[in-house]
Amino acid sequence: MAVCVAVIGKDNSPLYIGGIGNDPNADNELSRQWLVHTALDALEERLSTTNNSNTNSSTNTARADLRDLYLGLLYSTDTHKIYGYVTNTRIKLVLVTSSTSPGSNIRDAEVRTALRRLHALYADAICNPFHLPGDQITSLKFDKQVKSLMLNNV
Amino acid sequence: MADDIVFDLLHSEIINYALEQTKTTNGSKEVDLSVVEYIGFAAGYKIMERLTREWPRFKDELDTMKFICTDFWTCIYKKQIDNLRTNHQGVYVLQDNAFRFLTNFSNGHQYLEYAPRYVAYTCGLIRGGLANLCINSIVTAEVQSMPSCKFHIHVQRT
Amino acid sequence: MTAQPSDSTEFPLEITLKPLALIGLSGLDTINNAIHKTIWDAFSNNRRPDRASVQFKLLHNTFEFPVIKPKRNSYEWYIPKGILKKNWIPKRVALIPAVVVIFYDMEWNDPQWNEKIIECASRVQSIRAAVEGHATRVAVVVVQSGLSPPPSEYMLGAERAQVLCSACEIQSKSLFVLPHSDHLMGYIVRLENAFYDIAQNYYHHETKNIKQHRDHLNKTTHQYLFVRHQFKLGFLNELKQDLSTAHKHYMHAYNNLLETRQVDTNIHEIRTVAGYINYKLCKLLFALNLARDAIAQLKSHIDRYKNRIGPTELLFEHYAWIARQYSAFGELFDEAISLGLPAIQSQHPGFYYQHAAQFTVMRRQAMRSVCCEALQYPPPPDPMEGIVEFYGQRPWRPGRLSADPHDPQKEQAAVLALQYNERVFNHSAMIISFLSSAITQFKTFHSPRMRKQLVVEMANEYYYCADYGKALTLLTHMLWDYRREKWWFLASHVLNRALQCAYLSAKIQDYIQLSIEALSKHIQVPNNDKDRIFRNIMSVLNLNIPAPEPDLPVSSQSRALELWQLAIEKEPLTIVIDMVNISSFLEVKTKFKQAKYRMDDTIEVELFVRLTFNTTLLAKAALLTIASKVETIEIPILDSGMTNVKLEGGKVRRFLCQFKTNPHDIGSDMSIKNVSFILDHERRRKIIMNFKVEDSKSLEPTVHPELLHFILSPKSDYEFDCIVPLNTTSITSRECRLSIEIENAVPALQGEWFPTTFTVVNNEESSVYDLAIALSLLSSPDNPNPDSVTELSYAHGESQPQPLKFQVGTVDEASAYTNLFYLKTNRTATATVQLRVSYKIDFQEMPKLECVKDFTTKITVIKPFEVTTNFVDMGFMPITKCFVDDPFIVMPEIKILSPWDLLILDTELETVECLKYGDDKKPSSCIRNLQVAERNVASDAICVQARYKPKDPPTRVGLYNIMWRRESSTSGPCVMSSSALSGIAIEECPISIEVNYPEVVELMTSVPLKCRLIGRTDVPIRLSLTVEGTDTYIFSGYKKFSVTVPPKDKFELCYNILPLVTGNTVPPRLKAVVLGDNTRQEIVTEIFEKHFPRNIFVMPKYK
Repeated sequence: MAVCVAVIGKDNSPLYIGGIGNDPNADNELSRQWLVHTALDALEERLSTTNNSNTNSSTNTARADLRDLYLGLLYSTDTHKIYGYVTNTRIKLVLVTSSTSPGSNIRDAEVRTALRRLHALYADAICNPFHLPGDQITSLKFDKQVKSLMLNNV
Repeated sequence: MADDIVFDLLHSEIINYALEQTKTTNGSKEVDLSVVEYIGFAAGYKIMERLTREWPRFKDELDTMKFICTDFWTCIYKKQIDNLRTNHQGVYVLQDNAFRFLTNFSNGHQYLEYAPRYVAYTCGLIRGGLANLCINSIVTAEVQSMPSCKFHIHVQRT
Repeated sequence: MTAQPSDSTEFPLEITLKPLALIGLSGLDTINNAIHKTIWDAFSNNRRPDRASVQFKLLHNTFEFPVIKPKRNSYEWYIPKGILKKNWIPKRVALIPAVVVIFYDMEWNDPQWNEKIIECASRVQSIRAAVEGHATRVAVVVVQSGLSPPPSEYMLGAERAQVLCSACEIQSKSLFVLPHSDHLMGYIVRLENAFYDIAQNYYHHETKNIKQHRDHLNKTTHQYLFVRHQFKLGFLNELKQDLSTAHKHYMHAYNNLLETRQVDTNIHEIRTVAGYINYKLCKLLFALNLARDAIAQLKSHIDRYKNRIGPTELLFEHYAWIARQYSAFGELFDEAISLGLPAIQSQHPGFYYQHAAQFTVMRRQAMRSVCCEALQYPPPPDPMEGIVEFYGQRPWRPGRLSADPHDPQKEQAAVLALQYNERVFNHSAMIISFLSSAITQFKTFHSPRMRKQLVVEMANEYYYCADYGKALTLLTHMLWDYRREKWWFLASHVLNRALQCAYLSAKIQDYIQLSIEALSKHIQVPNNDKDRIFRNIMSVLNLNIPAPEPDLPVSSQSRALELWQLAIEKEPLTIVIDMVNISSFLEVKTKFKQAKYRMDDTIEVELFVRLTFNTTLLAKAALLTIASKVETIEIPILDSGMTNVKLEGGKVRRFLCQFKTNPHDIGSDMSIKNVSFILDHERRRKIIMNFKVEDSKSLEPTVHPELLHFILSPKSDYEFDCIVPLNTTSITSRECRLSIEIENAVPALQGEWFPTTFTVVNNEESSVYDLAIALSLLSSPDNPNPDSVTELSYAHGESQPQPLKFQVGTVDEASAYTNLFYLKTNRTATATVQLRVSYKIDFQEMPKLECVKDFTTKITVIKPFEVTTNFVDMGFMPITKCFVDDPFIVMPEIKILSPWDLLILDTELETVECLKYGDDKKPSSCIRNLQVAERNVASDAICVQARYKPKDPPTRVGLYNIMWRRESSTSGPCVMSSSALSGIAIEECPISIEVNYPEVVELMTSVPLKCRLIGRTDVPIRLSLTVEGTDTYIFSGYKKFSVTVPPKDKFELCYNILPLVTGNTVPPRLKAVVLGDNTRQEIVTEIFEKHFPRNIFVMPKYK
């Protein structure tokens, strides 16, 4: 089960952070924000190595992997696993799973599917005429869809 | 197909509407198509997220331009760009020999002076799409003999 | 590696230092003997990593080796009192050398050889006696001068060495000779390696000893010994530098320890020892370049021990221990990286320091929950006093193994002592130190955001230990980054904490700035109580102490109040806030209404202000700062005519500032620099909120402005968001109301001083003064550098520097000023002349207003005529070449192009060097004072002849100068135009010919014909001459004959000819064949052809 899902803009500002937690207090939100914010370090590092290897023209297989929008597991802590996905428009999607809760053995393919669906939801969300690209996503429909994605899929 | 023509008709009505608007506000003869261009920009910006979803990460700028010429163009105009040229220094020329918004009404020089109206939206579309892919550009169009149209993309590097 | 604050969990030095084989050096008198000192220094100094892993100890005579313990034969009744003795390692690394080396000065040919050898042997014996019981090896080094012995004594050395060995009872491989010569260092390194070999041998022997014990041990009573022996084996192998074997033994020790039964009384000892062994294991794995294994080892180590908590009243010890495991590992990892281990963003020492900090936080939490009653140290006797023989044992019950405490009272006192010590321990210092190590690492490994998070945690730690100043500094720095990336939730978190710090330290500037930012729509504040914050700002403004922030530590509140009482009425009384850098409740956008203004326009600046916080804000004043090239001005913003500006929450207000330009601003840019709002209270304290406009602020807008056009947003303020600021405008001069008329007779002719009359008419409604007109030439595509070919002047013939200035002065309204200028150009192109008219005019509201206008006039310049040239011979027949000394005629033709009539005053030909005038003096022109009109052609003729044949054919015959002027300007000075006339080929002929053929003859009338042949060379020339063309003539003289033309002289032929028919006739002509050298035949034929005419007209005889 994903405990947190985030959409981060081109300028690294948070567009949406959604979490499912037992504890809806501010501390929980804070730790979620820290977690997602620091995940950007790993995302940026991953992207920069992608760019480098492009110019260095490494082997084809490695290249194919790096051209995948889904970046896979970024890193794991004692409590969480953090996955990343960067769209062609440099929107960053982050998915966090708990490594302590039961059923935490999630296959990579499931995470990939979930992130791709999140991307699709995002692509729909920015076509909302009331949404300004680059602003926080406040659509309730989007929130609901993402929450259900976090619960059902992964 | 009727559904395609609806898009074309809406497009030409938007142009008429925009022209009417500028006429009433400015009172001058100067044709201000920036609103049409902005509409294209917004559409291009938003649609790009959707169109690049299944596309692997772009290798470089040229790779992005190829995408514009193929998938992007096909999605919007049901055909590909016929010719892409570049100086490898940020200038790209995309040539469509039968540009959809021109094919309907002209084949040669008749209405040539009005051609700029029918390319403004598409210029914005390209510019907006590229802007969402983090490529800032200036897009202009050149029509010499309808329905052929060349789009010039100047990438702005900072 | 950063030193962490020490506490009981810190590892002893002997565990952390790298074990080195110990080698004792004896017999070196480093104080009195210079040579010995050099030798000792060479051994002990400069221990670079490439030298052997040994350490040297200087043994003095008084040195005592540790007493050997009696050997135990049976372990049957032996119960170990602990796991690892504290003194075992120090003995191995400092007290029991593996090798003792005895240095002795002795030359092989020493005269007192026998005495020396006895002394040396006795020294060896005394060392032997001292190490009795240890297996320490003994070696002897004979120190010699290094002078090579005479050849006869080569054998002597070997013999005497042999004798010395047997006297000292050592093997010959333990005897070394050290010459203290130039190459001392080389000998030392070799010796050192030899000692190292011996030492390895010794340690190997020691390991065998320990292994022998194993058979005697049993698992029930001797579990500790299994650990101890394996640890010792590990350590000895480390001394041997056999790292993988060492690792193997430590691993056995670790696993044996895991099997040990754990109870509350030995938990401390077990985990202490486990920590040491784990440290050794990890260190070896890093040294063996097995970083992954080291990481895995640490992970499993923590996993195994994290639930072995021990007695709950000492829970903090457990967390302290875990924190230490992490920090020590971090240091090992860091050390390995500095030795070249590559690390990556996801795996580097920072994480371990971070864990160390986290567990120290848990340690403090545990302390708070279990130590709250430990308010005093227990009364004496101090339970912590006492010597402990084993690592990790308690001083109040050393060596006790039973699970139950033997003395509950003592135990209680001891627990109290530990708890008390923990209470007074400075956890924050330790956490900060771990965090700072972690921060450095995260910075190195490209994790700026992780680093920021840790800095915030560090600031929180400073906050907990009441160092509010430091906390505030850190937080305000971090706030910057979170704000920039728009992580408002995190920014809010940081800001609220910073605001607490600012309040607690009564830093007014920070307090106000943070409070203002807290009112931003992006910032969330506790209880969503922004009104309180706004009231606080107003309190400070009114010199009242603000209300405290929520959730402040009780202990600091009264102190804060004292600080505020001291600070509130003092500096800073003026608080300047840079609003652009923070997110705030006030937003400002400015724009000039136009991108360009004329001098006499009123400049208008629109100012939009949005107050996002729901209140009414009364600014005492608001100012707009405008800067131009010459000055910076502040313009008050007026709100319905008042300087007080009232802003309503949630609304956008528009203000309009109007002002006039300064006359000096002309032609420059003007920009908005700042907008400031001033809140003040009775002029004592004021808050100035500055919105600075930065020139080069190319902050990439995160939202494309194009997208804003179509946002159908419920928010009413998007109108504000869509405003694109325009902060720069340019000032141009006032519109000029003077007109100019140009009068001239274009086209101008190339080369002439062409007059142009201009008239400036004042169409202003009053007189103008300081009128000046400046003329200059403008470049154009067909005339890119007009200055180089065109001149301007006030008068004929005098070139003046540009611009040509006319200082006119005052011109009354409706009157005019007229003058003229001359232009001369050497190029046929259009000359563009700019006339810049500048003047001043007085208006009521703006005296001395300067106006400038540029007028231009184009003057077309054409050629007055075109000159072409023809060349003819003396008979006016066209020629294409001439011969030396053979005169011919140059005929320039002047084709008139000028539409105006011209008068040619004179012409001349300046010949080039190889030509001269035909009759040696300059002829007068035949077209003097000739009046010509358009399309006329004037032909001139000048007779010249070649003086010699130049090396290269001449490109021109000379310069043809024409003096002319316009016919209309009778008095004006003349213009001289020069044109180069094209060249003609010059040939040299060995002879020249003069013939006096008449042009016309009368029928049947005899005409004398004289022909003179002139030799032009230094040799005589023989010619065979023939007369041809005699059909229509009768002639007298030889028809065919040979002549010799003498050098530089002439030969004359005389004929009489008589024409027989009328009309055009071919007269008799001479033809010549050169006899002898016929290379010049061709040219001779040519010159004969040329001089003898083909045609003479014969007239009928007059009757």
